[in-house]
Amino acid sequence: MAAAAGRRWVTIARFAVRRLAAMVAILAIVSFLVFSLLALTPGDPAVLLLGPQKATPEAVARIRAEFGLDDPFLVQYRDWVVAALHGDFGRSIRSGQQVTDMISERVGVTVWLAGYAFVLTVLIAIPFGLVAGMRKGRLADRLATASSLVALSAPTFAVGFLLMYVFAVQLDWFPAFGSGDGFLDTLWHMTLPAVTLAISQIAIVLRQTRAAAMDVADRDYITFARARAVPSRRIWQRYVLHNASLPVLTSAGLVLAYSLTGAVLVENVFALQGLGALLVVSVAQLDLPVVQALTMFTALLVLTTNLVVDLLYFAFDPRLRRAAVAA
Amino acid sequence: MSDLLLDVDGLDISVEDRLLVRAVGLQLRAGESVGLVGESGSGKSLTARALVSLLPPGLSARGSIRFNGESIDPNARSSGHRGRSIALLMQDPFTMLNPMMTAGDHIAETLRSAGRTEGSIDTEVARRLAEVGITDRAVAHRYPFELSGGMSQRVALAAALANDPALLVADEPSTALDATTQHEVLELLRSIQRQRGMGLVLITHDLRLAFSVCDRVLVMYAGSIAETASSSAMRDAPLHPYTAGLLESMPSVEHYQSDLGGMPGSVPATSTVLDRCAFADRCAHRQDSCTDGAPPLVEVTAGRWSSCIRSHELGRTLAAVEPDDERPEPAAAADAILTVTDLRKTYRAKGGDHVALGGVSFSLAAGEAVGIVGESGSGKTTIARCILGLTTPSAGRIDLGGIDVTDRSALGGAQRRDATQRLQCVFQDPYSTLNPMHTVGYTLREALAHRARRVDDRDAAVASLLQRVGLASELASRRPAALSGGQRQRVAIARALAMDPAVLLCDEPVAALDVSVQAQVLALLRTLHRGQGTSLLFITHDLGVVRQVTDRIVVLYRGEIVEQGPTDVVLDAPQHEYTQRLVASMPRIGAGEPQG
Repeated sequence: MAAAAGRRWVTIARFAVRRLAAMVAILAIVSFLVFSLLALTPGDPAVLLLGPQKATPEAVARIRAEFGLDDPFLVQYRDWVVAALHGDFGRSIRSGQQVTDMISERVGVTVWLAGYAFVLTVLIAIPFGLVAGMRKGRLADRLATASSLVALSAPTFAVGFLLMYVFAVQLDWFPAFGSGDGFLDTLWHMTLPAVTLAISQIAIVLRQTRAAAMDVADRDYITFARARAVPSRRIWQRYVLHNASLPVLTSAGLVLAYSLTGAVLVENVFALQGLGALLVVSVAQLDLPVVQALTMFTALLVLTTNLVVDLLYFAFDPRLRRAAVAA
Repeated sequence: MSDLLLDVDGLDISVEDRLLVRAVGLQLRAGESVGLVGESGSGKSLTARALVSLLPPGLSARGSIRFNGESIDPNARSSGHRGRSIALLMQDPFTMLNPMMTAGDHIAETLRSAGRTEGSIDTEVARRLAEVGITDRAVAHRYPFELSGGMSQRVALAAALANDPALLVADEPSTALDATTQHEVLELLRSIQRQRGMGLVLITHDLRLAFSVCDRVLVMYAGSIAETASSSAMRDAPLHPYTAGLLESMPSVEHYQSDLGGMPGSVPATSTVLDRCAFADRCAHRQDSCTDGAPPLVEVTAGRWSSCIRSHELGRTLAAVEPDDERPEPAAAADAILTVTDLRKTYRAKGGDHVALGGVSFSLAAGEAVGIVGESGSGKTTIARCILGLTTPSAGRIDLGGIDVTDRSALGGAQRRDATQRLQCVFQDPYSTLNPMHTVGYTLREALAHRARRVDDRDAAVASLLQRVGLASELASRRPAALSGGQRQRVAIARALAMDPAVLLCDEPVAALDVSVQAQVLALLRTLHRGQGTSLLFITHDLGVVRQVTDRIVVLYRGEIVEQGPTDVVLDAPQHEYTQRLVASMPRIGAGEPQG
């Protein structure tokens, strides 16, 4: 058994390495596309990079030299990649700040928001989804299905304003904006934004979980487990949840990747200085170095989330583990 | 007070207002085994579910179930007696176990729910596996998808028995298994039941199987009990015409029957026959009084109950006659219409190639009926797929009346049409082979349109096709949903006949049908073969079916032919060790008095 388990770890590690290599390849492609943005944007890149400053011939010449704009395209790309690998995405055209500094200032808010919303999503969507799927057509299911439909169709900004009006303005339970200092204060500040963000995510994950649980509900192994008087707690965990876990993981991973890349609308409504807000401003101002860096960062986050989800598949499903060994 | 372990009285099961099971009574002493036998729609499985309080959602039961003198609520949601003193074993070993848990975990969790302490679990799991004949300790760490069907069923049995129940309810526990495995699992079930002195309620559609395993048998029909008797008494002299019909309908493994039995029609819904004898419409002994009211289950002689009002007078006339009929002389030797030479098929798979067929040769003469017999994995379906051109063989040659059809894609259009016309197929599942959106008439007209020789009057041709398969021409306007399983399979046969084929390839054509309907379809196929000269290539796992329909058989085992010859010769005196095992594993009426 120990040998088999060891072999399994080796194959899973090999799988992870293969996926990491694929991730690097995808990041390379993305970086190329991202870099091409500069060349594809109409007009002289130097003027573009100069931004609102006056495009005097001296300034243009300085920029051309600084960014190596007179080099061949591929050389420019290589230089950009090498710098990016050293954590240098250049400076913002607008503020002159280091792009990496700008991102690291903002990333905390976004991760907080995304993580908080994700926890809420998992804690609410999965249990209610399982119950709805197992009790299909009964009251619990009808309530869960109807409310998830409402949550899906309500626009995020409307929900955000509504929550803000009720809980911040009228009841004054939570602050209407700002991100707070220290854990508890941040938690307090982030609650309304996280709930706003979580509402549609809960709806998505709940529907996936419900569909997965419905598939499990009439399986013989559930009946057989009940017939053996297996405690219902164990039936819910080891039978229903475990067998429904793959589609649930997939959808949970998707919503997490989505909110990690910046929940633009929510950040806007609650005036949070996260990555989403930064992206919107940078795109509007054609602040290309920032846009490039944010796009790379986003790609990295999405790919990492996917990798984690794929590795969790192995943890959950023995069939995949064995298939990996056979391959 | 009595020494009854289980006492069911007046059990009704209904969905909303519709009655599905009516007034079922069942008594069982400790250590006794009772078979609950019936076709689909008889209510046998629902009765079993009610015993463990696990009716499907939406169904409810009324009536009394007493277990060891204590009352059980069949509608209870909480476990109660279930699992602790009454265990349930289900049909499909591949769906009964949690795919995410190892075999050992299944047994361990039942042990834990029975209150075993953690320290003793591992050794106890090993002991329980040994009880069901699994001594390889590694099996405890395997997942269900790594186990064969027979192995899974043994693990499930061990898990079901881990609570040491006083009663086991087994719902078709061997139906999904291959014949030889089926035999092993039933033997195991029977020996464990004896050793433990455990009560057993065996649900099955197979009367012979119930006779060979159980002390007593209850025959159910359309939701109520038709007859109850000891296995031996019922086998010798059934009291209810339905029981007699079931016995006659089962194709005998041992000898050829000129009359295949079979009852006309099919099982009605319980709720439509509440005020009459449910079987009357299919009964040869029906009188006017049969439909005057619901016949009560009465004790005809000591220990023998029947719900037929004529049981007394019919008496011995129902006794199963077992004439050793002479098989009619097979047609004079004719030229081969289908020749398969050294057929090989290899599938590429992870971790090495899988050889599905390792060089198979046989032929089918014009007007002959040849059976291909084998279990799952024997390659019999691969042969069918190769012959039909659904897959291309890796090597070998298939000759169909002078056309080399080995690789259909290499044939020209005209030849391919010709090949299709000469060979038609009837598949196993009549529920999925007919397009549900098309009427029967449309389906048949469509098939007629593909025929090479033009059919001028298609409506007349449809009517005559329906007549050939024993269906009324009015059915042409119906859709498959309005037909019974047997009727659907007849339509599927008619569709194949529409092409006027020389060879009819039948892939398990009756395996999905109820016993009484199966006999009708077998009789039809026999008529097509004998009366109309169609050659049959008959693929099946059922030796009884093969005995009745074919002249010659080819026995397939792991992709190789192990034996072939005239049907009667091979089945009466099998030469190869595998064929012997296969023949020995068949439950039969004549043999196997339950010991005990």
